[in-house]
Amino acid sequence: MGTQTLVMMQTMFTPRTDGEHADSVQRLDLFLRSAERQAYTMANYATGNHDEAMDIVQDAMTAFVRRYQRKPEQQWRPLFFRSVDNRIKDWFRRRKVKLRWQLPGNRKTDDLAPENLAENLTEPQPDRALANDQTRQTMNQALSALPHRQRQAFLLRTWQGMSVAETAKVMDCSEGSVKTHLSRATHALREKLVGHHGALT
Amino acid sequence: MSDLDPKLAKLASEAAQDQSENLDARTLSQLNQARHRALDEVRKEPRGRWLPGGLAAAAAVFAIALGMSQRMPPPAQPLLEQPLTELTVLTSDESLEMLDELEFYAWLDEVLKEGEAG
Repeated sequence: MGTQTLVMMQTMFTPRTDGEHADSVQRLDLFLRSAERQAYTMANYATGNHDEAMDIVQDAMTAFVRRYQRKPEQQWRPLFFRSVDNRIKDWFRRRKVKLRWQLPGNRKTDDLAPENLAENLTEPQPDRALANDQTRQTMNQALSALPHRQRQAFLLRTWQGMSVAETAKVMDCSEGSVKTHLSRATHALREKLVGHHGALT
Repeated sequence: MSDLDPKLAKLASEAAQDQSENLDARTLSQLNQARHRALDEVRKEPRGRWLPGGLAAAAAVFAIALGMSQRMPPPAQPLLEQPLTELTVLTSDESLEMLDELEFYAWLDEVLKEGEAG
């Protein structure tokens, strides 16, 4: 207890002035603008459905603003993507329950594991802007087809440039798990891209 | 990124980035609306985002009390072991009278000492 706790409580309870409040809204707005497309793209890779992806992003934004707006700004990105990831996982869980009632009885329940659902449920995304770029189109399809955990680990590490530790924090798993997901994703993507214009040679 | 294949990582990043940069107008509009709805949560909140009054007040009082208790030196000796003379004086009716005429008794004491000396 002591000075640190008192300072923390003072921060929590001290009212913001109108100027500080407006500034806070502006900074949140800028941050969300910078991350919303990426969040939507990740959600769309996972769900393969525009409306579902949009719902995930909306829920993640609202939860982020409610819970984390007073956290230091340097923590916003991992916290926001954690929020997005949690909602994608929730979406897979809901789909799992829904499919359990819809699928024929002879289907193996292992197929309904969240990590496998992405492969079962997602379809290749229509590629609007890259119609003439076969390699990128194939990559997007391959990313869509990856199991969710592998895709998240891979995109957070490569696209978002997060460290293994940050990725583990966002995905709420160990660093060892992140490395395993990365290794499997790398192997799967390489297999899909073999022969595409020598992209990986 | 030693745990990653650099070419594969670059290709994947470019593909994902292209996806996110080439979203259609409808999607961009919906993202904009989603952002505004989320930010409305902040705009509507009361300034200072007070916790429910009672909880906030109780937490603050508790924190201050705890902080102060840690800073206060321990009593020199337990209360019961302190001499009871002053307490006795204060609780006695006779002593209250004596206190009222303390100056008189002091003067008298001085006079008696002078008499003995003289």
